[in-house]
Amino acid sequence: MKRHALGAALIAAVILLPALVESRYVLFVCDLAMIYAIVALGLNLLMGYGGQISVGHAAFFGIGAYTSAILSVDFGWSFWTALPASLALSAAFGLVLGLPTLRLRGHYLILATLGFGEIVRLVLQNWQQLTKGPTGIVGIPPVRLFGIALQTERQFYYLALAFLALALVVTVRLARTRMGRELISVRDHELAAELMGVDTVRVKLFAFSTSAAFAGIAGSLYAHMSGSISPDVFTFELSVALLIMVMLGGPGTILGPVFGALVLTALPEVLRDFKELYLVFYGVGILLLSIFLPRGLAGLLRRPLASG
Amino acid sequence: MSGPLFEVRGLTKRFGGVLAIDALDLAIPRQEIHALIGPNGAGKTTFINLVTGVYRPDAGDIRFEDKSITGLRASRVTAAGIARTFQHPALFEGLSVFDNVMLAAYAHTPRRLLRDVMASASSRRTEHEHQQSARESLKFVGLAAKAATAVTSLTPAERRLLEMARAMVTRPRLLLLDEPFAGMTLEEARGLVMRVRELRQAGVTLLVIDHNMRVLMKLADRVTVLSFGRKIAEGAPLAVQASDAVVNAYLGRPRAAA
Repeated sequence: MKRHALGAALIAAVILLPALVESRYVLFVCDLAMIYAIVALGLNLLMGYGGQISVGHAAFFGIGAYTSAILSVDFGWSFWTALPASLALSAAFGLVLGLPTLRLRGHYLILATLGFGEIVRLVLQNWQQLTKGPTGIVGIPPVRLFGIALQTERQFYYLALAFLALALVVTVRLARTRMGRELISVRDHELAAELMGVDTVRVKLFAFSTSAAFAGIAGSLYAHMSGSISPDVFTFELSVALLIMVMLGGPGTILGPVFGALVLTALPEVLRDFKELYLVFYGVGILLLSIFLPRGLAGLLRRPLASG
Repeated sequence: MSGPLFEVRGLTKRFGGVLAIDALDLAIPRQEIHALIGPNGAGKTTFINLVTGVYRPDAGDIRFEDKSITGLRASRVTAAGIARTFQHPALFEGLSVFDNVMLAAYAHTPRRLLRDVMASASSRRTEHEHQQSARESLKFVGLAAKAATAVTSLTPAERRLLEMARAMVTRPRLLLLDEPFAGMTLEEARGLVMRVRELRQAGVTLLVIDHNMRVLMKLADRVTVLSFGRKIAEGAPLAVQASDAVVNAYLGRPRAAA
């Protein structure tokens, strides 16, 4: 009962936030956090549930962002038509990464995904005609909804929130039905999973492509929110930050990655005053959290072993 | 369906220079409880791994219900109607006891991902049906009360029973049990013997592996003895127990004309 009250209060706070907060800057950080939360939710399906580690997820985020940016700037597509294209292309690249890595595990999978992330970043940086190279793409139109352009952080807030809510619903449905169990079985004991009739190849490919699709949607939102994108956003550092969001939030939990995204997006902003020392505090903070909250932030809310 | 339910011919598996299974022939008729015994390293688990698609045989044919299942992927073998347990229980620690069984309950169900995500009526109905059979399966092995608990809190014997429940829920016609009695107290073993007999009554054919002959002698209809990958004896338990080849294999005398 207490948890229900807490949940209701949280939802109310999230909905009322733009009305209560004046600062556009705070709202911008919230918008960004929600976009990263969508990527983290997808990465969590792959990593937290499926047990496949990726340190190249910024690449899928980038593919989604560039697809939307190119389609809307060069071809005049709207966000709503570019979005499915971003989703589809990211998901396709998820398969492209998933197929050759089916046999890889642990360190080798990490290296392969790292390489993938770097390749995509280098292509974005050097394919002048398509991506405009290091300068990136500017003039990406804002999302239009019922004839209104969502230009301010306040307007964009509810769009991001709606997509985050949708991502959460899909995650819950996937996690609590057959696919969720199958992902966990592949993570815990791949051979036994296969022997229980689980097509582990399909499950892993599903995890890679769905996870990439989440990142693609988030990338599309990001492009239309910021209006301009360049390759230096979609770096290895971002991939690591996304990974930490999942680990810190609580891999294999529903809400964990959302909290993780919020903390990791807000932390650099809060620590901005410390200038050069900021990275030290950031590092120490993450170290402390991983020592004292090994089950992630979600571990605070969840009683051990009470899942089911 | 004329031939035996399950049959292997000339089954061979090499690991480097070692012949783990050497031109093995074996046939198990319907509803038999067949024991596969042999000293450690005789190739018993390798045999199960070959049958269930974990390893690919180098030569030979595996037939089940008059169809060849040689070289099928493990998930396809399960779908064909063969289930197994592991020598060292291989449970999914991140799933509850109940969900371990639920996972396997879907072994024959076509994937309907979109319907699951949309929470369609048919998806919920399927889930409900599988929950029913998962509960029955847990009840059969006596773990119904533990359904909601974490796998990590189970005793070793309970882990074996859960593996059995998980295998049963796939509704196999042939069940392969890899050292199911290991680590069980006498009483627990007796309970399991009863379960195995009930399964046979229900129409399931069983292949039970153990290196300990004593338990299996009472349970099995027929026994096959493996040593260094080769069949050295086959027949009724008492006859096999008395054969020279078996005595030699177990007592480690120089191998006769095996």
